Amino acid sequence: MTQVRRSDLTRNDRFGVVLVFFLTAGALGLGLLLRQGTYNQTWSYASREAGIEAEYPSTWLVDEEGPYVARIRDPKARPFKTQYIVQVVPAGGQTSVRNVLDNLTLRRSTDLAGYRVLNVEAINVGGATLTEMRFAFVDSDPNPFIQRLPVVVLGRDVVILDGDRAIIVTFMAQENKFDEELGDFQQFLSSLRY
Amino acid sequence: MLITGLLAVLLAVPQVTAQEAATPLPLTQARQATVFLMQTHDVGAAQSLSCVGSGTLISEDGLILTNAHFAADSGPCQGERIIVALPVRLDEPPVPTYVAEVDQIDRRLDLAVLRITGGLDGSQVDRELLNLPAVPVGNSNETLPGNTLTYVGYPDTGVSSVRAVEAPISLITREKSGSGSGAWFRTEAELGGVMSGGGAYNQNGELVGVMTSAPGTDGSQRGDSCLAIQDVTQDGLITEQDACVLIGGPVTAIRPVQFAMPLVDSALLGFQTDRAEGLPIAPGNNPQFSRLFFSTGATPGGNPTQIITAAPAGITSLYLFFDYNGMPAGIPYELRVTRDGIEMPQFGLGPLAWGGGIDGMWYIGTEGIAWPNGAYQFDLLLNGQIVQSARISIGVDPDQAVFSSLTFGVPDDNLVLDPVGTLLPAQVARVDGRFTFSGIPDGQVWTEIWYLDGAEVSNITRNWDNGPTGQIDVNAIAFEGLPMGRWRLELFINDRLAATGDTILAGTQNPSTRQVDAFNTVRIANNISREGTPAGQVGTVMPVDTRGLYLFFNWNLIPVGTEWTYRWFLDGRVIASSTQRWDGGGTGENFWVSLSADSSLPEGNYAVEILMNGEPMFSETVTVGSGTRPSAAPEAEADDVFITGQVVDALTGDGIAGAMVAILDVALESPQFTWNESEILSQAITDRGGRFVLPVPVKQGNFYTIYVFAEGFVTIVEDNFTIPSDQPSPTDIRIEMNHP
Repeated sequence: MTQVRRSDLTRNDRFGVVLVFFLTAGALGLGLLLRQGTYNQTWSYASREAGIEAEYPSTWLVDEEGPYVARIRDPKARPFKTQYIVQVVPAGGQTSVRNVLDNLTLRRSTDLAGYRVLNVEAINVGGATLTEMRFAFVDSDPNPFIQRLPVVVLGRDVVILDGDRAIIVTFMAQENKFDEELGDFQQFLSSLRY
Repeated sequence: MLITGLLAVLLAVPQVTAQEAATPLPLTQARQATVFLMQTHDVGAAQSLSCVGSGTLISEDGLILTNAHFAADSGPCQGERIIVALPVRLDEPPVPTYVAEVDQIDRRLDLAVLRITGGLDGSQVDRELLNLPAVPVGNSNETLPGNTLTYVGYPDTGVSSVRAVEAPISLITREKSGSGSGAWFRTEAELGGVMSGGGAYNQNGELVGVMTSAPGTDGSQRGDSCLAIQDVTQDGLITEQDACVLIGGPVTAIRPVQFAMPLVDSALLGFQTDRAEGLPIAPGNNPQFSRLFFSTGATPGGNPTQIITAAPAGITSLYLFFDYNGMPAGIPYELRVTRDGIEMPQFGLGPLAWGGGIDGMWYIGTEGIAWPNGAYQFDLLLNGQIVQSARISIGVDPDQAVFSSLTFGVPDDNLVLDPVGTLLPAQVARVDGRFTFSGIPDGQVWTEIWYLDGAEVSNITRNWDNGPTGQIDVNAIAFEGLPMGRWRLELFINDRLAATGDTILAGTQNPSTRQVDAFNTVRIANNISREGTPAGQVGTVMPVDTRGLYLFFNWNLIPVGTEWTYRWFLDGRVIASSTQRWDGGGTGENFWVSLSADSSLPEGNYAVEILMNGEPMFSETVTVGSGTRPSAAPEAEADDVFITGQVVDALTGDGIAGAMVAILDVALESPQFTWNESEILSQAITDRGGRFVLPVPVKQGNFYTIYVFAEGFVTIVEDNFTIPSDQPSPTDIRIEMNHP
């Protein structure tokens, strides 16, 4: 025998359930929006000495102590910290973009394990044609007592000749995150003022 | 906005085995600083091991103190590549990690300092970032027989983890290589040959010695000292055609670290020494030992004090002397001593790598320990084969007729010997050998023989008529002047060698001081021309950016093959020293020795000293810059604590790989942090097990802000992170992270 049991909920009860459902969904949506807002939030970087400004993702770490104008890293990324590096090198009248890239390659071939240039091509950034070099290397922890697995890192250098100097903007990320992070780098590149 | 998460910082019990837990902290550091070394050479396109051994990290930027024979470009261990394996986990075998090159080497002492230069993949290393565990170097002059040392090295061919053995010093062996002082600490502990090159530590955890043992053979025969473990020919089989891997014989000798200090200082300061190229000297071949005899001691110049053929009971000082010639550098030599047919390893020595030059007179002796009565046999071995033997009885009546205390000198008009020693001026008309005698009956037949460079020049046999006891001179005379060279006097009673000694005649006699005058026109320059003459600035004051110092001198009447030494000093401390055989020819100009650095030489007061046959010849001083050395970098303070640890998933307990741990400068809390890395005191990224090592220490009791970042986890921010004052360094912490 089949027994049919009607709900004991009143109309107000049902309204309450619906209200709770929508409030929960709304709160989740607001949370996601806030979270997305946090993720998309940018902070400003300015180097008065180099005359360079840019917008970079919030809560990334800025380092100005190395042989560069700035290195900006995502401390959360793991194991390799996704990073943007801005360098300025002198460029004479006879210096070509290719010369700048070749110098980078010479230096990296001794500093980085498994360094390899993938390709060099022209790209368009904000209507300007720039030269981009794609490269890869293997990153490992120099501390031999730390058992960190080496990771393959992909990178891009974008070279901007600016009078008697060349600005090199480098993006590096772990190989499996490179495409995912590329959009943020393009935003960083677009925001660059010099 | 960041969410402050739960920081669970637990001061964890160090994760070590029971055996290690009982290990005092300094010894843990010593074990971490002990590396396994592999010398390899190219065989076609492959690499083949030639020798293995141990070494000790003596600086955080990768300087390794070890034996020279591992690293030498001659001898059985020669190779193209030195691979350094580190004890990444103390209870596991070492992990090949780096390649190293020779920075400083002294074959005579069998000591070398290696420098880590790159990774195994050929990449360069930034030495300033290496931050390797290194041990402090102690004062071996304060180490005495009876003191307990801990010996740390690898027991086999890299299969086992680093090993520490504790045992007292049983005695000190003297050898010509130690130039009169205690050349070797001896131990009766069982130390495998691969531990050679590893360190010996005092109770404070300071390095006071280097274990030393050479392969007993040249590798032509397999056995305990040459292991067939690799298919060099790559034919799928290990056969007689495959080269074996040489390992040292059991270690019984420890070279006191004081001998290594000039090498260590030179490497730490980045100095290199060089010298003018000499005349080609044929390398030793057909090595031989000969003329074995016993003495009660050795003079500072290396001659025997009193030759004996038998000794009374209770004798505490006994030396074996012998001649050597044709000796190639690095050849394995050994002394084995048996008493009534039973081996007495504490009185033997080696096997060790030869570093004494091609020819000369050598000694090995002990003092301060009573020799038990018995019939002793001393066997000298080369390449594992006995080549010469000598016998002596102890506990019997000694020789009654004795010549002793033979001294060489140039007599003045009153027959006072001035100068005396083992380096005398050439071109003088007469050199005397003065000795004391006792128990010689009148009428006793005795013989006096003089040699020059190994050739007999005089042989006189007489009947004794000088009474039973006293002192007497014998002499070599040449009115046209005695030629330069190595002179030897042998005195026999009947056919028994009763006294002998060597002296070098070199240079001319300074008329006012009567001393040897073999060098002149001494000057120091800060550069050298292509022709090998002084260039740049010449004088006793050099500018602050000086990169090298060159000592130039002319020389007169120096026999080829004479042992000579140059020493560089900085502010009174020896920073480089090398003892070699003279190969510049008899007379010439502009011989030079140099001291240089990769960058500018540090400001300070420098001096260089030249010795011949152990006798000081001259010294010269020079000031670089203001003469005041910049103060050294501050060393780690007592309240500094290094932090290691693990970042784990709070839910699963699994380590989180790739997390970033950062500690802000002590003055900063999270609200003041501007996300600039200059505000970070120390940071590290976790390994695949979530483990990390912060490279900069924190101070006990201070409050710091710690951040821990990891993708997929809530960022941790803790403003009141502190290490209590009773925590040791390194302190291990555990950090738990939560998912969002």
